[in-house]
Amino acid sequence: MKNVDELRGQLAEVFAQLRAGAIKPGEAAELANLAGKMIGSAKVQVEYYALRKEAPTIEFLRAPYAD
Amino acid sequence: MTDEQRERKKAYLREWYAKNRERQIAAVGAWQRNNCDRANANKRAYVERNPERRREQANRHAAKPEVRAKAAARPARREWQKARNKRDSETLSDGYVRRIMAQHTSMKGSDLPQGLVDAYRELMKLKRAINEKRG
Repeated sequence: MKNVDELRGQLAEVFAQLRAGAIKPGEAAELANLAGKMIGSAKVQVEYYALRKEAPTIEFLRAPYAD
Repeated sequence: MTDEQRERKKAYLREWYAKNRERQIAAVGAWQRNNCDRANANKRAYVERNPERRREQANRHAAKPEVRAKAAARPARREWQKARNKRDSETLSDGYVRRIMAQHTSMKGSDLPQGLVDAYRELMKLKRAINEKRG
C-alpha cells in the first residue's frame, strides 16, 4: 500500500467483505485499527507542516495521477 | 524618557482619548468604509495572528442575553440545525468528517487534504459496520 487512495480502496474492500460475511468483525476491527493509525500519522504530518507554514509534497497523500 | 514622564504621557493620552473617543471612532469607521479592501485584509491578518481572540469574541457575543434570547426565539431554526447535524452524521458529509478529524488539533477542517478525508470516511463506515455486526 503506497498511498492514501490505495488505503481507501482496501478499506472499501474490507467493508464489502464484512458485509458479505467473508471476514469476521474481529479481523475487520484489526484492519480498521491499523488503517486508523496510518491516517492518524498522516494527519499529524499535515498538522506539523501546517504549523511550520510549509507545504512539501507528502508522498503518502500524493495521488498517483498528480504528476 | 523617565518612568515618570512615561506615566504622565500615558495619562495625557488617556485623557485625550476620553475627550475625543467618538470623533476617533467615527474617523476610523469612515476610513474603513472608504478602504474596504485594506480594512478587510487587516481584519483577516488579525484573525490569522490571533485565532483564539476571535473565538473568545464569538463566545462572548453568543453568551450575551439578547443574543441567547434571539436564538431561543427561533425554535424552528434549532430543529433545522439538529436535523442537519443528524443528516450529516448519517451521510458522513465532507464537512462533518473534516470537523471530526480536526477535533483536538490546531487545524481547521478545511486544512485537511481531500484524499485523507475520503480515507477517513471509509474508515468511519467500516467502524460503524463492525459495531453493527457486533451488536
